[in-house]
Amino acid sequence: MKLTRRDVIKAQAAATAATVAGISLPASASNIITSSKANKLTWSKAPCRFCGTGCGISVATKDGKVVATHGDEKAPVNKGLSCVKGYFLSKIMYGKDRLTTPMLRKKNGQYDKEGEFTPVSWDEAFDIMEVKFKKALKEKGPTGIGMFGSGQWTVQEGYAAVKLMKAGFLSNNIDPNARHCMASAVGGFMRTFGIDEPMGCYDDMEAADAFVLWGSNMAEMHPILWTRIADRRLSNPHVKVAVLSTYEHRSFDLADIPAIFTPQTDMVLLNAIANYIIESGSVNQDFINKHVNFREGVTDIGYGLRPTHELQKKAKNPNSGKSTPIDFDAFAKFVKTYTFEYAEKMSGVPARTIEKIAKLYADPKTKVMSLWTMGANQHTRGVWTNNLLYNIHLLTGKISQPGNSPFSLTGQPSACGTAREVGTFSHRLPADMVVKNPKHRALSEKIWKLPKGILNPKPGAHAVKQVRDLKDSKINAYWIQVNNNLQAGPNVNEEILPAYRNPDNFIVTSDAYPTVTAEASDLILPSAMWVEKEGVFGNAERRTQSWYQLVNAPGDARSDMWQIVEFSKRFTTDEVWPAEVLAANPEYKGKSLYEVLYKNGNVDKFPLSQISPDYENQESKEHGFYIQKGLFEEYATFGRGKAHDLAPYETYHSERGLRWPVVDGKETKWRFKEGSDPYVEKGKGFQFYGKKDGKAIIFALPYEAPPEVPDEEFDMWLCTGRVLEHWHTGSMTQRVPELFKAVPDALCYLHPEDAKKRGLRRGDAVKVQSRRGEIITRVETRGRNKPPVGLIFVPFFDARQLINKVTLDATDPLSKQTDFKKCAVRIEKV
Amino acid sequence: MRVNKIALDDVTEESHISSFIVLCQAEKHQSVEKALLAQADIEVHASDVKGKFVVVTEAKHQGIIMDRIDLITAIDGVINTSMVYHQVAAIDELDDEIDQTDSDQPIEKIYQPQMCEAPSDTDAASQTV
Repeated sequence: MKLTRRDVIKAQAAATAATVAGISLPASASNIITSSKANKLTWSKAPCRFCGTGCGISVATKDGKVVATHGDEKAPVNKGLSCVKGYFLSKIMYGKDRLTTPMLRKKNGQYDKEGEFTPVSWDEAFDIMEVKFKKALKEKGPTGIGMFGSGQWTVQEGYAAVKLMKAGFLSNNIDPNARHCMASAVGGFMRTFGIDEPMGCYDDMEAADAFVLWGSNMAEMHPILWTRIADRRLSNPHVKVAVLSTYEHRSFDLADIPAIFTPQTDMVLLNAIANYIIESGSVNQDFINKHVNFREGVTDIGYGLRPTHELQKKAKNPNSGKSTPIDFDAFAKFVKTYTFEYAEKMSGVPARTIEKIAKLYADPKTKVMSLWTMGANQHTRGVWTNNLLYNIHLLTGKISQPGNSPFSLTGQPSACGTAREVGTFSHRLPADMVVKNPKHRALSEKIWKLPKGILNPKPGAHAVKQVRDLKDSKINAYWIQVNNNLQAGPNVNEEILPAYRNPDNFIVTSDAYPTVTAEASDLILPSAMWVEKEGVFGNAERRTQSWYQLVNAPGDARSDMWQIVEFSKRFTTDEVWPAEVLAANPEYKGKSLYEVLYKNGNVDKFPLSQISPDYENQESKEHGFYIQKGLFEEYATFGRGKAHDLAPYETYHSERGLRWPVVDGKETKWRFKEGSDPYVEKGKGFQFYGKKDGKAIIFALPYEAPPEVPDEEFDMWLCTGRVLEHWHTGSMTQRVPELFKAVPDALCYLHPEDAKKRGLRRGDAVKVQSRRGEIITRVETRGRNKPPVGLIFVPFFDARQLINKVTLDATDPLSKQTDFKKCAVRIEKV
Repeated sequence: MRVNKIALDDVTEESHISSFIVLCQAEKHQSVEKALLAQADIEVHASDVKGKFVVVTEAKHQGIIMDRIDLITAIDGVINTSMVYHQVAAIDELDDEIDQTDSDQPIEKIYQPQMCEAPSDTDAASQTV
C-alpha cells in the first residue's frame, strides 16, 4: 500500500480522537505504517491561554511554528476535549497584523503626541519611556505613574510587575484587568472566608446532584466545564440543573428549572432562599454553631462613581464595608421580609420556581453546586451578592465537600494564579496580603530584601480610578500591558479616550496586535504571547500549570516580563527612593532597580544550567539566570506554610497542574474540611482558617437598587457580555478568520415584541443610546440570546461598535469592579 | 482613529486536517452513520454502538471545517460535536509518498504523547511521529 503524508496526518488525527472518545480504531487504521519523517512534530503540553478554565492542550511545533494542537487527554480539566477557541490555538499567533517592532508617535523625527506611528528600536522606545516616567515621578511622586496589567500575564510576569511598581517605584498604582472581572469575587471571599479562591474544585461536577447557575452562561463561556455538567445531568436522571439569568441563553437548553429575573434582583432571590432555609427548618444547626459567625453590613454604600456624581453624594455610607456582629435570630429576622411572594414581585420569577430552587439548597440529601461569574461580579453590589451566595451554602453546611460547592468561575487565565495571587491589585501584596497592614509590608520587605519601612502603605488607584486620574492629569506616565481597555472599559467617550489622549500624558501599550487601545497610545511595544515564552497560569480550581517556551516570538516581539525587567535597568535607587531611606541603608545607594529587584540573590539564584536543554528560553539566556524559576520560587516563599503552598517549580513541568495548597507533594481538592485539607486541625471537622477564630461569616445584607433603572426617556435595560467564539475584546480571536466569520458583527439581541413596538425588523440598523453615548448596530430577534421584554443584550467584542461608549462607569463600591450588566438605554431605528 | 483591522488571511497554500468526536443518541446510530457517510469530504474512521463517531476532515480553509461541524451537528440525532485535533500543513507536502523503511510500528505505538515528563527527559521532549 502506498501512503502519503496526508494519510499519516489523518491517521494521527483519527488516533487522537479515538483515544479521547475511548473507542478503538479498526485494524486497518491501526496498521497504517508510518515513518519518523512523515509527520515530524515535537509535542509539548501547555494550558490553553484563552480563559480561566485551564484546559490542557497538546501543542505541536515544526520548523519554529505551532502547527497542530489537540485537547490533552491526560489533562484532568478537559480530558482531551477542546472548545472552539482552543481548537484553533495554532492560529492565534499568526495573524497578519501581528506587531513585531516598537512603534512611537513621531513628527519630524521626534516624539509627538499628535505624530504618526513610526517603527523604532527597543532602545529608542525605552529612552522616551524613561524620560516620561522619570518626569512624572519627579513632578508628582509615585502616584504620578501607573500600570494596568494583562489578562495574559503569567504568574512570573505579574509578580515581576508588582515588584517593579510597588518595590521599585514605590507606587501602588498598579491594577490588573481582573479588576473588571474578578474583584467582586475576591471581595466576597475575603469578607466571608478571609482567604481568596474557591474551596472546592471541578471534581464537584461529577459529585453534585444539582447545579444552580447564578447569571452564568456556561454553555457558551465555559463550554468544557459545561460538557462535564451535561454529562453528569444526562447520565444521572435525578440530577437537576437550574439556570437563572436576566435573559435566555444557550445554557437554558439543559435547564430543568429556568428562571429569568429582573436585573439586580438576584439579591432578593438569594435572601428569599435563605429565609426559606430558616423557615422550613433546614438550617444545619450544628454546622452554624461551630463554624459560622453572623454580621450585619452597613447599607446605602453608593455606586463607586466620582465623588461629585449626584448619586454618590446621596449615599449615606459611600464605599463602606463595615459590619457589626449579630446572632442567628437577628439574621432570621433580617431575611424574614424576603418571602417568595415579595421575591416574585421584585424579580418576576414565579414563586413556584423560586421554591423549586430553594428546595435544592434546603434538602439535606441534595448535594448542590452554585456557579457564577460576571453576572454576580460585574454588579454594583457584587461583593454583597458573593456574600449572599455563600450565606445559603453556610446555613446548610453545604460547602467544602464533594458536590457541595459554592463555585466562583473565573474569566481570564491570569485572574487566579497571577492577578489574585501575586498581589497585582492596587491594595494588595503577594499571597492575599495588603499594603495597609504594617506586618504584611514588613514580611514583603524581608522576602524582597528591601530596606525596612520602604513600601508604600497607601493603596493605589484601581483600574477605573487610574482612568479618572489620567483624565484629571494626576497620572502622567502610564503602561498598559496586553489588554484592550479602550474597548473593554466602561464609559469610553467621557472617561477613557480623553484620559489617554490628554496632552499631559504619555501612554504606553504592550500588545501582540494593534488594538484600539494600542492605537490610542503614544508608544506601542510588541509582546510575545502564550508559548512564545515560558510561564505559569493558575485556574479557577487553584490549579497551577506551567509550560515551556515552544517557539520564538516574531520579529522584535518580547515577553511582558522581559519588557518589565529591561525597563528596570533604566532607574537607580537614587532617582526613585527617598534620600532618608538611602542614607539609613547606604548599601542600596547607586544600585539599579534591576539589581535590587531581580539580581537580589533570590530571583537570580538558579543558573542557566537548570533550564531544560530541550526548550528555548530567550529571557533567561539574556539575563544570564533562570529568571522564570527565580521569580516563581521567590513568590512561592510568600505562601509556603501559609495555606497557599506551591510545589517546587520543576514539579509543574512534569504534572498537568496541581491544586494548591500542595503539602508534602499532595494537592488539595477541598479546602477547610478535615481529612481533605492538611491545614484543618484534627477534631475540628471544618475550619475556615482565613478568619482567626476559624469561622466563616454569614452577612445580613439587603437588596439595594441599581444606580440607573429604565425610565420614560431611556426605557430599556442594557446587558453586555461575550459570545463563545470571541475572547473578550476579540483582539486575538478576530485574527482567526473562522472565529470571526462565525459571529461577524456585534448584534443587538432583543425580544420580538420590543422590536414590533418600535417598528423594527430583524437585521434593521438601530441606534442604542444612553445618557453617555450611542452606537449603531443591527437587530437580532431570533439569535442564541433571547432577552425578555424590556432588556437588550449587546456583546462587547466588536471594535467597530464600541458598546462601552454607552455603559455606565458605576462600580461596586467595595471591589471597584464595573457593572457592565445593567444601565438604561433606548433604541431607535436609524 | 483606525479600529481593529480584521486579518482575513486566505492562505491557499495551506491545508487543515481536523478530527472530531460526534456524539449521537444511541438508537439513531445507524441513521446518523448513513447521514455522515453521505456528506462530502467527511471520513468516518471509527464508531461504537453507544453513539460515538471519530470523524476526520481536510479543508483548504478552517472556516470550511467550522461549516462542516455545523452541518454534522444539524444531523437528526446528533447531540454534539467535540473538537479534538487540528493540524496545518503545506498543501504541496501532503501528496508526498512516505518512505516506509525506517519504521514499521502501528501509529498508536508511535503516537503516544508522553510530553515533557521531566525537564531533562530528552526522549519525551523530542518525541516525533
